[in-house]
Amino acid sequence: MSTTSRAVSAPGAVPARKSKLRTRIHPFLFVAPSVLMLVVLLVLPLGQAFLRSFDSVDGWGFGNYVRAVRDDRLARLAIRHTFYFAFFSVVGQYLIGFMVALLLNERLPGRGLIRVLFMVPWMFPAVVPGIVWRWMFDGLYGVLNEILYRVGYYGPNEIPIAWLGQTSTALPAAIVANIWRGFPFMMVLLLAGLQAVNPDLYEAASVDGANAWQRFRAITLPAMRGISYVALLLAWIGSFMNFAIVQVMTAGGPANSSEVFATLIYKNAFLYADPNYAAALGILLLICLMIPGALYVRATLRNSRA
Amino acid sequence: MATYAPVTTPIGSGRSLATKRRISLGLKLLLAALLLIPTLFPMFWIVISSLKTNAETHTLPVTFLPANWSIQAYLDVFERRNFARYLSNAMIVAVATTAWGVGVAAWSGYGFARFDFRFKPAMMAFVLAAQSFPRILLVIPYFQLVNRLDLKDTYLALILAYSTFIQPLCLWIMKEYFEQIPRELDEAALVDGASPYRAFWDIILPLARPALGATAIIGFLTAWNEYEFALVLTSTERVRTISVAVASFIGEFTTEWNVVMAAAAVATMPLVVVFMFFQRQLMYGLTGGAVKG
Repeated sequence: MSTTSRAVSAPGAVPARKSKLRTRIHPFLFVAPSVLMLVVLLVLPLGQAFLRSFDSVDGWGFGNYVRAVRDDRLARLAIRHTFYFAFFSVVGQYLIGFMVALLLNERLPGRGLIRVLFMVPWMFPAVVPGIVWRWMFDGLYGVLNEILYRVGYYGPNEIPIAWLGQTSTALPAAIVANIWRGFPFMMVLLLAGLQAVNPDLYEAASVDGANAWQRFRAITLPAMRGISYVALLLAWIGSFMNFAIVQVMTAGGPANSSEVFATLIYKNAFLYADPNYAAALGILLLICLMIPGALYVRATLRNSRA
Repeated sequence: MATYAPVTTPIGSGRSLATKRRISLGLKLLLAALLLIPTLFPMFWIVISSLKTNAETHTLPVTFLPANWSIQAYLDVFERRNFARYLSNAMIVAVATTAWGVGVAAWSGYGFARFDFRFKPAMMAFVLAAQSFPRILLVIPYFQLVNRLDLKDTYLALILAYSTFIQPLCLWIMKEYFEQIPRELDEAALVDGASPYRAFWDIILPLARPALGATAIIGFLTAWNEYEFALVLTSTERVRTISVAVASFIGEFTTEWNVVMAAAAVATMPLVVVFMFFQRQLMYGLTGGAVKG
């Protein structure tokens, strides 16, 4: 860890004549504003939500939690949808992001421009992806159905699919929007990883007679393991707690077929006027995020020390 | 013959190598084009839909170019929907949050980069975790607190709420940058008798100017994009930001899709500008934490 190895020469410790108290107070004064701010603005409200989550209709206790995991069919459904949404989003984002990153790592004319164009989906404000995909998936006037119609997918008198209006396709449609939205960030991270690979390795492997696939498996894949790990965790966390895309596209419907954790929390807190139960659901969401969150934090802290 | 043989062979193989390379380049460009079509189509569709009349967005068959090009939707967005207000609201909140966030982040980032103290690893973990904290959980206590403190529909409420994720984000980026500045620079100042605050202010901060810019851009973008807090903590157009406004245009009665798309385009415009001018800073700041170099 660089910080400990540098500790001896840390500026706070350099002027030996300064008193111990003064050198100790410097880091405190530097760090205090942001830590205090986060405690007041983040930890205290979180603590309040935590306390309220134990305040249920049948008194103080685990009532809301029992309700969420045992009695509330909708909560169980939403949790399942959330895993489904996150899993397929992450797989899609990773595969497409990796493919594009490999492509952009090649020598292509106009590579800079192509890279910018691939980043376009990521440029939009968070609500816009949901909005535009909702419009494109529209059952009646959506452009997707028009394209499908023109390529002959629908017969002349066939009724086009209402993608967001039927239970079997609403969640997959939201996943498509989320993949579109999220793959550019994946691509940026993976491309940075690819560009950090020493090109001599490929050269040496070529000289030794390795073909493209062998070079990819023996050099690229192992080199990408670290960055892939971090990128996948980030994508998982982002998709798992996604609110904007699902809320704007389907608001969890139809018939709760695309209800995810975040939309259910929102509904309970602000439409069903049950903020205590919503807080319990929120704490459950936080618990679900703890393992990937801790892994991400650990990996990033290790990275930043290297 | 004998003199030709060694010459022709390399030329021949060279030619086939060149064609091979050209074919592979062509395939790569083709693949790029195939992937770019679905990537860019939604953007194209926003622009096209926003330039149609409302009647045309509700007509079959769907037209791929407007039959009557019309800027009516854009006029609607600004005249009937008071979009200038939403834009300036978003701007005020994003700029204030960013200015405050970057200021505090620079100060504290220096502390994290240069000193060792108790609980530092735990604090850094906390700062990292705070960046991707589930906002949908946090909006619940915020809604109640803001109502109790009578801060509903105020910029202050949004700025405080946004600080919960903008500030740790900025802090981390600044810390990473300070760690790249050689320690000898501030040490020299300290040996000359300057306080660490003076070393920070006079020597390190001027060096960190590019990082301040990159951090500010990322903070601004993140604040501009925010949806959850703005949705819950605003109820009138007084401080409502553009994200909420755009989403709220859907399905009030029947959706006027050309207006919604024009609103989406307008909401995206500032980001396009930022993106075009500050691409490099953006890349630096966003991958800085996860990728070295």
